[in-house]
Amino acid sequence: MELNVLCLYPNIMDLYGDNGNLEILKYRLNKRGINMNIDTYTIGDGSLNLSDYDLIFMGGGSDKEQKLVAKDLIKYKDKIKHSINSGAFYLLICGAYQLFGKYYIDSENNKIEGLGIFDYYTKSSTNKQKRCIGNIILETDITGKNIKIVGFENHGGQTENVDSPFAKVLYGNGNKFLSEYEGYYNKNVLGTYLHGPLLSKNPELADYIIKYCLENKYNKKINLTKLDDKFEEIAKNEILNKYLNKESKV
Amino acid sequence: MNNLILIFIKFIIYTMKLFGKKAGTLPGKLALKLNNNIYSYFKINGKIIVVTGTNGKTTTTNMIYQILKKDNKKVIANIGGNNIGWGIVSTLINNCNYKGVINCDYLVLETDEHWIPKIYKYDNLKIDTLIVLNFFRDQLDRAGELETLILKLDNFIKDYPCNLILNGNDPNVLRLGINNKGRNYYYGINKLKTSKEKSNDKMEGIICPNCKIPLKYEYYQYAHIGKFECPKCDFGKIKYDVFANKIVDDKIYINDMYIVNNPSLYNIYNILSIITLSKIYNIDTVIMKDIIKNYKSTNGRGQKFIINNNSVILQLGKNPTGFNVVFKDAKDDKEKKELLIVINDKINDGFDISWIWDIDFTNIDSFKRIICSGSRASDLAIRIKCSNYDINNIVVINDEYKAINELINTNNTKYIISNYSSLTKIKEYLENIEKRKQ
Repeated sequence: MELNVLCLYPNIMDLYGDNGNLEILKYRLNKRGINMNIDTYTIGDGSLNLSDYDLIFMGGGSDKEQKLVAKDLIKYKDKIKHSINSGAFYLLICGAYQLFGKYYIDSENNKIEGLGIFDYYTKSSTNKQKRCIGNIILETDITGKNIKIVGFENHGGQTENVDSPFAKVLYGNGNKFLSEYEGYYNKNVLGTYLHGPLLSKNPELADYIIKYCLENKYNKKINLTKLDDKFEEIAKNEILNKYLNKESKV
Repeated sequence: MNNLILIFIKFIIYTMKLFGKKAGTLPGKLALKLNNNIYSYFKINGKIIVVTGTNGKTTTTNMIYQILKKDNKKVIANIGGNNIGWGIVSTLINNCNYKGVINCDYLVLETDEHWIPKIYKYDNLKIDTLIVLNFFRDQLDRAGELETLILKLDNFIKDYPCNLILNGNDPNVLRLGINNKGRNYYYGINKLKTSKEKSNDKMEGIICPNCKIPLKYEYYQYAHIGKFECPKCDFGKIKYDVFANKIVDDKIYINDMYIVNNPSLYNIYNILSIITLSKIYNIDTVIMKDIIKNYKSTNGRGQKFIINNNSVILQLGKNPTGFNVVFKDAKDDKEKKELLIVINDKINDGFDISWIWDIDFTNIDSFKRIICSGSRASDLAIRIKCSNYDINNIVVINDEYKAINELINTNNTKYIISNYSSLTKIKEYLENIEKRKQ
């Protein structure tokens, strides 16, 4: 078995180690004897082809970089819509999450048009010092089990009008300052502000994505063998113990 | 009022010294608490040289300090690396008289890049020359994005005529020269055998600040450092004031002058900034060469120890570039070796440690064992595991002293990389072991 992954704009949209998510997925697939091929697409590479891929990944970027990427990405709006409808999994972090919504108004008050595939929209806080920054703890049942997710958020953007969020916030901010919810999730699209990278301390989520992609591709039920996740468990528990036992919000 | 604050703080420093305590940043913190405009009180009779950038500030400041001192100049510097507001105020208070006057030829201040606008906006603290070494991702959560930092500095510099010494091989640094009303000086390095046409390291600032299009690189030295220009405008097309044409073994050639050191490429850039500085202030070349040649780190940045007949090399690693450079050096060292990495997430480290995923760990198989330590040791272990390093050779020991004891237990060369908050602790611990074993 194998999975084909496309990483969008890796040289531009990669803040805070986001591309580590792909390294984690690849590690977890290889340990189970499954290959993962990573292709990249960036500005200047010619036309974007999405049809060959089981998973599409895009990370975060600064305002300047987002603007640059948005102009290119919007050319492929219909292709992206089609690929989402045909079931490819989209993992979108931070700036990428924002760009799949209606628009993003950056910290200098410039409006960047998003793909408008989803109804949410984002406005950045104009005070550059005022950002949602810190460790964050979430709770979600998208994997079928109720699990806690830990990560690190760092965004000025305040995202509104999310009809189906990824998770409930137990500690930290989420979609906006002191928000109840974090991210966007809809069967095969996961948009989130979580860095860390996201999958580094959340192996259950990584395996959920892997399982989805394999089942979608091979059209059969997949059982993943269990891996040695002792480091992940310790690291996650350290964060949970440090922050969750204090007050539940920042 | 300021005068009273000063006398009070000086009294505290005096008392602390009496009890054998290091004053450190405490006096500055206190002074700023009592008056957060205390900066405006000092009167500097001398030229202010400021060193900033992500990597290399402390080493560069220390070398400049030693050179000027040997050149018989009266020089004051924060050589201990206390480079944010209170650290700098502490240095000023330590060296001024009761009226706040500092008499010197040069005041050399390593300054955290984020603090420059806050400190040097005061007329009495006017920078004569600002050295900007490089800008990498560093402690992003405390700082906001790199872009925000550069815009902030650019905004400050455009109304602030001073000499700017700029690393011409770093597009993020070069940008600061565009709006400077003072004079810009540039340094850079020619294409070397080790230069690459593509960079695998994580990139910053690959976009032209004028035209917003990707820059074209002729060659990369490491990360985004290299020779570049904008395909459309003048950005990157500069005339270097100091240019290293070639580097052979331990010799750096700059036109007819060569300088001997045992440098990593990393440190050669620092040295070039100092040579540029020497041109502005007519510093004696012989003295400068002598200090550069014999410079030995004593501050944990590339510091060497001998313990149980094994060399132990301690390096500061607070961002991916710091690590990547150590791994490149270590790869050439064919001996058996082991590595200890200490990663904390305290306030002066930054709470976000996701940058460890930007470190290139594909070059580390030459280490027989890697010990992960610090408050985020497990995160580090996950990172290293996922780079396909053998999980059986990864050890997690959160306590850094216990980790060091474990490391020095075996007989081979040791590398230690620590991020900020543990560096001094580790350095002092190693110095003590070294003394005891002699």
